[in-house]
Amino acid sequence: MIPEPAAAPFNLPILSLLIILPLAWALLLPFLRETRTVRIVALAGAVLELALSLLTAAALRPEVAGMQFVEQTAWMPSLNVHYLLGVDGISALFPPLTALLFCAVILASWTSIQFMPRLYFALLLALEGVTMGVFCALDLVLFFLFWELTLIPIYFLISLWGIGPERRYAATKYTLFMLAGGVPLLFGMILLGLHHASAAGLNFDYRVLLEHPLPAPWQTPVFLLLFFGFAVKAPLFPFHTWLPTVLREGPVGLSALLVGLKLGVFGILRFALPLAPAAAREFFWLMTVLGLIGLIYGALVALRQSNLRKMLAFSSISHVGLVIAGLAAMNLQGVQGAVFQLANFSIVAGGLMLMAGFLHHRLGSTDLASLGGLARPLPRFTALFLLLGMASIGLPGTNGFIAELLMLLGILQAAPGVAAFALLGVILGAAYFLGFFQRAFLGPVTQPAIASAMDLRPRELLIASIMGLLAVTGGLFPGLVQNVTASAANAWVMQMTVNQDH
Amino acid sequence: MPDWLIALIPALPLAAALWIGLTILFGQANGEAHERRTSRLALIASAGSFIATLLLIAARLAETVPDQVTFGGWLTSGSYQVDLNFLTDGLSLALLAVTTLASLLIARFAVNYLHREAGFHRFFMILSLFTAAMTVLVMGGNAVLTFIGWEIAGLCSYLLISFFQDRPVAAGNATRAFVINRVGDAGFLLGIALAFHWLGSVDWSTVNAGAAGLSTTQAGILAGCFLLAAVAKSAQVPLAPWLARAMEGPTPSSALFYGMVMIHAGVYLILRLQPLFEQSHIAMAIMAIIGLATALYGFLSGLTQTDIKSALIFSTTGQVGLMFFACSLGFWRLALIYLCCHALFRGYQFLSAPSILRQMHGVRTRPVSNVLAQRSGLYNAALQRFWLEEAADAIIVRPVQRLAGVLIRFDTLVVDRATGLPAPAVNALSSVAQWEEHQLGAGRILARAPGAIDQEPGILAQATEWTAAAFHQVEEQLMLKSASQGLAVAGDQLGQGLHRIERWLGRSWASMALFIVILAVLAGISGMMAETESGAKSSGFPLLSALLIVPLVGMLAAFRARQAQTAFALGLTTAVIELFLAAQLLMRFQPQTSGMQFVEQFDIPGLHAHLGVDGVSILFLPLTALLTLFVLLYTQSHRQQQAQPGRFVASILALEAALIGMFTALNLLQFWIFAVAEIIPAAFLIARYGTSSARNRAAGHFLRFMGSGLAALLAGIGLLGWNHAAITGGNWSFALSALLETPAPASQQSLIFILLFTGLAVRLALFPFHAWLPIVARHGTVAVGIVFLVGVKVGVYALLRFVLPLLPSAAWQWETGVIALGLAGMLYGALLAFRQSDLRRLLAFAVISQSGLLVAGVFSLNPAGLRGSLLLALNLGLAASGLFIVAGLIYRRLGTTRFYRLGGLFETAPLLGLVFLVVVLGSIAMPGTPGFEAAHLALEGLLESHGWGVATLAASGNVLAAGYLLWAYQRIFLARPPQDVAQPMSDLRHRELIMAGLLCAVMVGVGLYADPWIKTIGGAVDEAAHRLEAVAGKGHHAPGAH
Repeated sequence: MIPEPAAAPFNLPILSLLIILPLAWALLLPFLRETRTVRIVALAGAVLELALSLLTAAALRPEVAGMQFVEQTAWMPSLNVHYLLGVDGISALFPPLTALLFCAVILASWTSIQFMPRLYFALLLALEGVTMGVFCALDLVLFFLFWELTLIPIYFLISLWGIGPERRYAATKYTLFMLAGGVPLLFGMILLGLHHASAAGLNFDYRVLLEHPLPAPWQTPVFLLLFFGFAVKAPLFPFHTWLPTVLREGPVGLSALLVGLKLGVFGILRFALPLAPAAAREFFWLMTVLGLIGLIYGALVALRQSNLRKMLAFSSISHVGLVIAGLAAMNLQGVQGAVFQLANFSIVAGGLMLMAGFLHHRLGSTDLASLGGLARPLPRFTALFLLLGMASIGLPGTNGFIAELLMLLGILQAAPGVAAFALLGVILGAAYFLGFFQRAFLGPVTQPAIASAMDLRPRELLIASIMGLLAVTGGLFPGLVQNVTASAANAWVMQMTVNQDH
Repeated sequence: MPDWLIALIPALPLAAALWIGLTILFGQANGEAHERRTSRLALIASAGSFIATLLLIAARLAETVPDQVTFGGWLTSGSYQVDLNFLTDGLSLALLAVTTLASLLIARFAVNYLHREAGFHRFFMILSLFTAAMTVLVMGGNAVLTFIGWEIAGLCSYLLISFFQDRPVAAGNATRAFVINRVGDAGFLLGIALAFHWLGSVDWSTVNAGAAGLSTTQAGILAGCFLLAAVAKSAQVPLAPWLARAMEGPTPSSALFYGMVMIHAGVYLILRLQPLFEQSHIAMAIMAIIGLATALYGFLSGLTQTDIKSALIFSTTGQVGLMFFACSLGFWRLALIYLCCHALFRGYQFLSAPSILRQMHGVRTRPVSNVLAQRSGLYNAALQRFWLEEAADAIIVRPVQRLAGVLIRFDTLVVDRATGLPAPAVNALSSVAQWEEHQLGAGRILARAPGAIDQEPGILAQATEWTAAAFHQVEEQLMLKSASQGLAVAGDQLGQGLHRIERWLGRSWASMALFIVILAVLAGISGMMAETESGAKSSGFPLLSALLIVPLVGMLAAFRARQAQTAFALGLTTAVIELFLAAQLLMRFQPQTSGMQFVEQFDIPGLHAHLGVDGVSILFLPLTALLTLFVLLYTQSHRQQQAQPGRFVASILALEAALIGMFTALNLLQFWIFAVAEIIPAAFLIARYGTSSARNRAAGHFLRFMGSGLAALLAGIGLLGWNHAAITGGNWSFALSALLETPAPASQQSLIFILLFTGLAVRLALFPFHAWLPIVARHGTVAVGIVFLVGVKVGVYALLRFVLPLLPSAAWQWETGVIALGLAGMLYGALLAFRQSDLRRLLAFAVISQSGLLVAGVFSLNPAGLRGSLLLALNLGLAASGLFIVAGLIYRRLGTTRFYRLGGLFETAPLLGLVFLVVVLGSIAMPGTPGFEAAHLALEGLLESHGWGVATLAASGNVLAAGYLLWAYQRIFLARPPQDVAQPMSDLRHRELIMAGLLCAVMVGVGLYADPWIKTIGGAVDEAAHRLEAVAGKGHHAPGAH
């Protein structure tokens, strides 16, 4: 018997609420006077959103493979576009993690944002709302709307609150890269819709498009368009150059969101592969090769970085490479590992980036020249940083290990020859992270500013220890995640192998 | 024997480690005061583990324990299943006993040894964690559990080597040790993955049982993977050197890790996998070589050591090498016994080393042994530890570092440049700005403001810049010059008369007289229409006539007004009434019907006047009314600067009337007359209220261009009428309905098409007929600019209304050419926009670019394309007007719109910045603005009719638009302001705020819910498309469907 999808808790349109609540909150903020009130209200909104997203995740029935909590309303009948939301076991993981990361970012920006705090927090919440939309949208056009809407708050966050001298350049660079990535996406989606139009009427409903796979000659362009469109945002080598720039110049909170929430990879997972499975199988080598190049390339470049935030940027590029290769394996281990790793990013990469921000707040820089010997004055900071770092290089006992192991298993089964290259990443990961750790945290204290630096404040300690706790929890109890994703991932793999014999 | 006792063995030290860790983190374990609590906790945990181990051994001897105990699943992914299972066979128990005993002894030793050391608590946390990890390692029933212990033990080793955090050497050694361990871990991971791949399980029992079924190669590879892991962990040649470096840690840790426990983990792994290794002779042979080599290495290097700990560690290496050797020869049991004895003995030696050191203080170091003393080469080699580390550095580490260095340069110089998408916007423009600054002598001040962009241009950027530069040359040398010289000469016959008009316009009274005469005629016509209303489909009240009359009445009233207040009050009232009427029209409009509605017709001599609206024209009426209202609101908010406000308001209202007339005309001649009527107040506004001294020249330009366009249009209309007369036998008519019944013969269609298209192209500012627009935008008033933008869309409207229905086969014939022209114009305008140094000129080129896209969309000639272009035209009317309004607001505040004088406005005028951003996003078709659905439909149309290449090209226009508009935004609102210019910039005032808010609300509102509008235009547009397709079906030219 096929289990029924769960009803939304209290019969609420809960996914719409997830999207609207932060947006409404963002509109509320500009009317507040006191900066303190603004922060508290913003945090309250984010916490409420977190509760709501946890409620969603709790109400989800993981044994159901299909979409749940579906909401559907006609939006643009001329194009047969609907306001269509839904989550399955894969995407349901992300709203709570997103909400958590936003809470952390708001807490982390508590005192470090002094310039126009109302606008800052309003933009953050707006970004949260549209990010939720990206995760929940099931109509391609609606997805694209949310996808592009993320640009606006990000542009402002970078250009107005960036911490580098070239923040405006970084903002423009980011926007243009994303717009350039948006064009192939839009094309791919139009093609999908048009093809469906020639058979059974224009349609952008993800579920309908899944059921009617494209004929093989159409799949190739659609797949390549979607894949490269998403690859820019992922970012996948060679489209990655915006990420180091933005992470170096942008505000730390936003950087944490950019490395923590990999919307581009989510797009590949959700749209690019399942909508063109035959082409995806055909181009499996392309994804694997690009992914592994990214993995090794990012790790090697990270090896020589002298700025913590740039190092984290290249580390993120490296990790994304492995995730793409894991997805390309198109087997259960590969995809479950990839989803697990995507979930980890928001905890581990996001947490590390926030901690880099704490450091920047104290020392005014995250460059090696002004770091050194941090372990003695900042023991707690060092301990938690090391813990998250170990999670990022996949140490057993942390969530990173589970994800990496699963992805390696997946890649090895799909392409035994290249798995060895994936393992190079394991070694290089330790090398670049510990190399940096050694130079920045160990050894004698080099600067007077460091000697007098304050260890983690309670607020910061809260963020870092929650992230650390989650990293360890994920590592010790992987079933928590695996159970949620299992049947949706199974369905995903089935979708990828459909019509394989033809 | 209860199972939980087994679980207790790793759980106790793990819990202790967690607890100590948390107390450190939250500041509850500080210094000496808490030492006793911490050490006790660790001791109790170790003792508990040890006792549990003893109990387990006892139970094992009593044979009440199975070989393997499973606590359930841990990690599941499909067929991949990792259980939480523990082995309790002899091998595990032997090592378990050694491990727990060692950690208990060493914990006790460390309590005294580390008393009052800075990292006391940290040490006990790591020690407990290590104990837990080692017990998991030796008890783990599957490869993954063992690996977890394996790797966490490695982490503990890292933490202890770098225990004295201030010592740079310790830190370096720790990193090195961990990375080398990680090499082994990679082997282990590969082993796990291969075991799952080939054997379907990672349980040790399955691996060993299944080993017999593997081919020799498979077994060899699998054994090789685990051997690599063992070699790294047990510090065998060639990965041996890290062990000597590990001596940086405190002595108890050295004893535990490298003397007693961890160093033997590799041997344990090999013992555990005995059946697997027995399957592969090659792996055994390699193991023998490695073991023997390590034994020699350890022995010889140990001889040269002068420090007791170093000597001990080399001895350990050698002994472990012997264990490997024993295994490789098949003496498995011997190796195990050897291991246990060695561990305990070595542990004792390490722990007593500090005391020996103290006792020996001052005693001469021991002499070089005889073996080495006589062989200086060997001595050197042993002293240098056989250069293993140097070799590894030379072969692996340094090349990797060099490669990393090369890749960093590759990243910045090649990848960043090759994918340097943003650079066109940034560089092409900044080079112009620099040039301009240089020309104006402002260069030195602005040369390199902090925050200026100094990125290398990308390859794409370079290409774009070169193309843009080339186009710029073309524009400067050919277009503008020919516009002012060549084209003028070509149109001289016509130009003579127009020049006179231009001179007239210098004398405002004269021009106004003409203008009043024309409008009076029109007013008379309207008056007659009100009487001769023939309400075929009309709804009683003559709404269209009213729409025409109201602005004329307002104009006449305002013209005489002396006071600005009166004039604007009259003007605004008129505009509001007009908007109300237009809204009424829209509400009464029936979207489903495709025919003309609200038709009013009547005859006056020589002209069969005919008014009506359908889906194509209906939306332009409220848009025109709305924009007129914007213009009046805009100018009113700085009315003190206007001379003769009455005439200004009157001209604007006259323009409105003319535009409404064009949108409602169903007779070609009537359309033409309104078009003529439009240019007069427009030229007057440019000449009289322009913002620079060149405004008269600009007006002249405008008149010349429009004059030529109108002439071409008139010629085309004349030919159509003549054709009608020829067919119907001398019965001249210019009414659309009449002309539709008498289609022109194919031979003439092309000529007429070219005439009409050229005439409209001038109006549309389509490349290459666009040269008037930048000049007008630069020198004319902002208000005129806005009205023109609606005017520009008149061109699109007329194409849809007259050209396509009347000349369908010519349209099919010229379709490809027109699309090529449109797209060329789009690219041309976009690239030139990159080169502009003035906001208003930039916007003009943006409009030129968008006109190109519009025309291309119209000529996709299918319903989607037509709908899309029509919507796009409406959207651009809104968005581009918004851009011009913002430009005007900036001009009003700062007296300039040149980029080098602007910067950082967002800080002082954030609202203005937001409005600008909303309209920018609208004009680049972001989702959520009306442009999105429109562009989507237009692209869909182009894709359908002309396939990939064309659609891609069209879409690239939006990307370019994003480039230059966002660049302009960045430059004006975000970049650092020029230092020499004081900018007392105020944000939006009340009236401006109303206007801007209205604009943004309309854009976002329509954008998020465009459906009603699409429905409104849908019927008529589909009708037009079907008519076209019908022609294509029977016509001589195949439709461009691909």
